[in-house]
Amino acid sequence: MAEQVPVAGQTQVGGDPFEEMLVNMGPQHPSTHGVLRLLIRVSGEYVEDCRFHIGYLHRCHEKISESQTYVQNIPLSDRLDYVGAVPNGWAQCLAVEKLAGLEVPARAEYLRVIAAELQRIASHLLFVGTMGTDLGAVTMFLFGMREREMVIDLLEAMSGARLTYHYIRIGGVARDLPDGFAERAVRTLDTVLSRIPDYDDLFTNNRILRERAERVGVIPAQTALEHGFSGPTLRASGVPYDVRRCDPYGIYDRFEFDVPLGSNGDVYDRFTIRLREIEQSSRIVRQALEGIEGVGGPIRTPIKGRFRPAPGWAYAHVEGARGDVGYYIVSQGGDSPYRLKVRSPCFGNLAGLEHLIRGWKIADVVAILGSIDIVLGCVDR
Amino acid sequence: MDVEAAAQSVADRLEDLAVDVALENGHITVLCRPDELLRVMAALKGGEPGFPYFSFMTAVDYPPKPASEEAAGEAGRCDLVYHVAAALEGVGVFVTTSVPRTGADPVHPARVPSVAGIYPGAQWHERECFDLFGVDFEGHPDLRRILLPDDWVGHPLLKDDDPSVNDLEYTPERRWPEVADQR
Repeated sequence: MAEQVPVAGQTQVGGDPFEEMLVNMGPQHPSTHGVLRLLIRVSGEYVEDCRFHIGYLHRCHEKISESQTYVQNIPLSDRLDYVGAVPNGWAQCLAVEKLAGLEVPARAEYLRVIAAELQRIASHLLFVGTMGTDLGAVTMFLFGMREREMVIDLLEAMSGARLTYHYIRIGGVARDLPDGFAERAVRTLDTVLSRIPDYDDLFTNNRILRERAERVGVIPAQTALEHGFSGPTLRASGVPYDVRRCDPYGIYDRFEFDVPLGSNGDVYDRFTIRLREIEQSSRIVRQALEGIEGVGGPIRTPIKGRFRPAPGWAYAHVEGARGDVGYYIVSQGGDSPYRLKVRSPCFGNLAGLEHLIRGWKIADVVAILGSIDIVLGCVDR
Repeated sequence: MDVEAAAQSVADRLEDLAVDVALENGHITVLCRPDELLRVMAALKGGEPGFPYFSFMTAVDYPPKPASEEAAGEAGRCDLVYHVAAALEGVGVFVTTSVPRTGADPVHPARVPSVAGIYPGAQWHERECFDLFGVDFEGHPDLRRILLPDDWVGHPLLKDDDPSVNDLEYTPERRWPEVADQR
């Protein structure tokens, strides 16, 4: 079954300045955002063909889930997209709740929104940083990490963890807000938003970076939809698909927010759209912090005895930081799912990119790859 | 868009093609025979309302049950599940088709036509399904393993797969066949 691939770095034809060459990139490479391996056939500076090799971070999430109980499966979801962990757990809990017919208390719904939106801000801030590094602007990375740290502190105060939160549980959330959280959160959000003009100075209005990002890696709207792109990558191409708006879950229909859209679908749009999304997420968090004040009551519907949902199937999806995260669960009435499938946004985004990366310069490959914001834990599962 | 109206439209469109169209858990479900799959998918993508967004495809394995004293034996099957959506309206369709487990190798599911020609986004999902379930997708442009190593034996998400036949010892030559030549 082993494929016959030419030897990396070895030229195939000689004498021609535009001779074809096979370049191997990754799996250990800072620009591949994890362990992605690219095999690129270049002609001079241009990419003739590109193959992605994934699976280096495959941890058998779906197979393991078939032998663990529903409750034991929830923390695994945090390990998929580990820089945007909250929505993964939300999608899985939502699917299990649909399967078991569990109601979620009103206060827990607010807490879920607050956690998920803070997570989106943290994740987009990391993206802002890594996108800068991919284009050679290392200051951007320090800026992004600095602000992300403050948001991570908020999530730590909520959940006790800094990366894999396991905050959303079946039937509710893990714990309530600590004292004085609302003031602290609003203060942090104010600080984060006040620094976005700095990012604009450094990136959005920086001629050098714009030259590298504008009209590069263009993904037309129709192509993006057919290839299964989702999240900010799809919206940058002008398709207004946001699960929070198109197929609302939880209490998202109660909040006012805009869905920012790009017009060209290039790297520049995919960068700026995330800055706008940070602003919108901050709007949602503020509304949720106000709304939660009058809502008391429990934060979790208790599960009694052995948890065994009735036979059947359920599908639930949420808008994660990278796109449409879905869980498809089939139950046969046992302690563990009969089949659990994760619809990973990064897998869809990366799959589509394999064809779209042809024809660009090799230096742009890093920019294009960075702009879809992949997390390999999410791709490989 | 109203889910019920969409379900009615899908039912009208697939009258001759699908075995069953229903509304379940808020999703439209379509049951069809494997040989009608391509026509069903094309009708779903192109009609009005169209479902152009390819969300995912996967399989659910039901292994063969040997005959016992109480019950007769059952032949194994794999249910292939495709999820396509009219994303902006938030309406999704689950297309299910069953293939018997009587492929080239007796434990492997049989072949099914690849939908990658209709939905380009299905390519990697079908590769994953081939990798983990061994489903043979007819007409797929590039059917290789995707998550597991190329020399892996078996398809681990089949319920009766035995991964212990694999030799897990690491050697650079096994993992990197193309660099091994340079040593």
